[in-house]
Amino acid sequence: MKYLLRRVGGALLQLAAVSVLAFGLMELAPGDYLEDMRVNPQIPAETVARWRAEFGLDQPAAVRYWRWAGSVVRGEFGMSMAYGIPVSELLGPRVERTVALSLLALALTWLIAVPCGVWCAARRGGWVDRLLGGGATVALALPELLVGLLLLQGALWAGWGPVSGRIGPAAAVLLLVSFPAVFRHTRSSVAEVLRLPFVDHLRASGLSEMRILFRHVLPASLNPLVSLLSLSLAGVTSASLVVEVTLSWPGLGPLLLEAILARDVAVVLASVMLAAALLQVATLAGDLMLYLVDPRIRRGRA
Amino acid sequence: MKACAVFLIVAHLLAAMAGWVSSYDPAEQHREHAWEAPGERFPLGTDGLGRDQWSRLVHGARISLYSGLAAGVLSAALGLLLGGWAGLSGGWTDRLITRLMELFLALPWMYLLLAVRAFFPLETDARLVFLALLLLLGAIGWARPARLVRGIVMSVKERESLLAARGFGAGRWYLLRRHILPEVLPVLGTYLSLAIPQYVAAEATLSFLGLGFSGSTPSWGSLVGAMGSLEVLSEAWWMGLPAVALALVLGCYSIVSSALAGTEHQGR
Amino acid sequence: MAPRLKIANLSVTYAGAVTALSGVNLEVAPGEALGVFGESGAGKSTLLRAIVRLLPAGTLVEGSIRSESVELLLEPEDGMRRVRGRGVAYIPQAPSEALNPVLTALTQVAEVLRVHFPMTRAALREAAMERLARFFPENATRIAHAYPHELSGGERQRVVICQALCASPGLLLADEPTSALDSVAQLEFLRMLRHERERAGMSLIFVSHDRAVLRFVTGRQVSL
Repeated sequence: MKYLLRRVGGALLQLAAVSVLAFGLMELAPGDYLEDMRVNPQIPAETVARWRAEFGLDQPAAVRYWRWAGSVVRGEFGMSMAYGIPVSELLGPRVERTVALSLLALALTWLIAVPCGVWCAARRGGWVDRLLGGGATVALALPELLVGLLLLQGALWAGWGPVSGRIGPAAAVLLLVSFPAVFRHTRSSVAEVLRLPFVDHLRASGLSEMRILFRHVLPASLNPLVSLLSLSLAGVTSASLVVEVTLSWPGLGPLLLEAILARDVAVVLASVMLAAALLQVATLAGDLMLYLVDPRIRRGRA
Repeated sequence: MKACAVFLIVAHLLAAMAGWVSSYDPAEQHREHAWEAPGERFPLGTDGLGRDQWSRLVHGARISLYSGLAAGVLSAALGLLLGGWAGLSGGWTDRLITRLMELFLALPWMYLLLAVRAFFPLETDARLVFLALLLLLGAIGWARPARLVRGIVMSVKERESLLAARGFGAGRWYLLRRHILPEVLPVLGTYLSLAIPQYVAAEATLSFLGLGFSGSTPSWGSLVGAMGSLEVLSEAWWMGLPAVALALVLGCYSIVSSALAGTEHQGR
Repeated sequence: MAPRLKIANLSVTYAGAVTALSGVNLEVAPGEALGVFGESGAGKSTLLRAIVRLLPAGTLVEGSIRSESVELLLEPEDGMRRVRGRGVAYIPQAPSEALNPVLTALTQVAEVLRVHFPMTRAALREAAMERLARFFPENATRIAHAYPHELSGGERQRVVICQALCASPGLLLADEPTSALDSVAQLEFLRMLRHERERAGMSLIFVSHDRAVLRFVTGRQVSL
């Protein structure tokens, strides 16, 4: 329990560090949202100056950071300059869609990749293993961008109808992109456990190969896999950004891109903070799961 | 594996000699030949402005392949420096760098990349963009190699032979060169073969999103971006060839790197 | 009386043409304890693993191994699975590493029982508890719910024996199970093994490179 509290504290500290870092980077970057208006001769300089004051852009950086951090803590994440409303209102539905997409893709990936990995570890060198292993090597190299475009193109040629803006195709692309890492890790970690003497002992006791694999070997090899879970969530979150843009899924991705092009600082910062927070939550959840699945951690090492 | 390595070398050579192997200036417009299918005059066809796709592909390769390579090397160098420093000095330096490392590893890098990119001016000189991308990718990617290097340094430090060398009065620089570098280099090699294609893909993705090189400077990302609208590909299939080239290069890198990782594993 | 196990002209060649055993003949009578002596590398483990057919894929096994009129070398894999643990049980070389680190002792004993005696979950646990109680008269409850890392080396070994004997096998194969133990634990282990064997009237093949150990648990001894 005390350990948990310390972990939550650490996560909050890291988030604070991320916020300073992100804010600082934004400060260093030249230009702001009003840049285009200042150079626009049709907008009088006083108007731009008034807007600057309204958004508090004329204040020193430390003051602005303090204000912004306060609004983050209140859950508003600052004001979007392009939309003139708190970022939270803008982001809410977007975040829901991105989270839905990421979680669906993640669940699919693990449900498919883990059994495949276990199977290939048990039948190393078999044709399934070689096929999936080769496929994973190539798929590992393909960025989500190409996979997404390939899907769009394939759908066009095969006449599948519209694939843009639907969760199914987007999740399929993410599945393909995140499959290789999970598959490979499962395979190697199960293969390692299969070499342990207790597996032979189970065989000598007459247990069936399937029972050994899924009842005994898989639970014993979960430890490294759970640590992968949070990393794999990070991967999916990053990939989902690109997939959302290519396949027009109205999640965070397209909004972020738009905000970047418009230099809408608050939206960009909020996206980064949310993504970092998601990761921290995932890491914590991963540790918690590790605690639950591994008695060596739960009950202490003798 | 060998075929893939050869293909990669050829691709990089072609890219390096882009000026020699291309028949036109990549920006030269042959308006009367817009959307021309591959033929004798334009081996890979032309785009909507009548620009030669082959010339654009090899010139784009120069930018894309080498920005990936340079960013990979930069991140590896930063990783070597910071990871080695942390591992060798220990104490609070180590704790600080490790913390930073964790922080960078915890960030969803695509978001960070976009966020930082956001505040570079959108339209700038291609050379500036190249430099900015390089710095960006290298600065974000240093944590992974740094963790690898630090791990190795920590394990080498405990070894008897190193203690013995210390006993002879060997200096820090000597230890680094004779004991640590030989262990670190192969691991960094494998890291590079894994990281470079990721950086190539990152450049392509950024350019595709309109945040990297713009259409006037051919890079594989902007070339792939040109096929982004579906009407283009159904009318002009050859516009998809850059995507095929990108997939081939990335696939070959992946096969080579898993072969490298395999030999390294056997070596242990 | 017909032998419990009869090995005739057994040869084992590993992939890569390494011959581990050639022309081995052995017989074990029902209830007999046979000691097999051999230096390291003589093929002691290979012999026992050939009997339960757990040699690596690609290994060539020739000859005949008959257990209670069943030719083990010709038995299909699912029939072989019924033999393992019930007809012929096997204690591996390092018994304390033979337990799954993430399951409790009770679960692991129940898993073996489950293969040979189909029953409900509750009945399985009860049966496993009863078997454990025989080997740990004082502290069966604690052992049952402990994970391997919470047990001492000797306790782990006893759990493995409990697993091997829980389906009342007719023949037990033991592959130098005491080589990793100190002499006190070794003696305790061998005593328990001897006691259990005599109580159940089971046959035993015990291989070792230590003649004193062999004399302690077995009657007749042969060399490999």
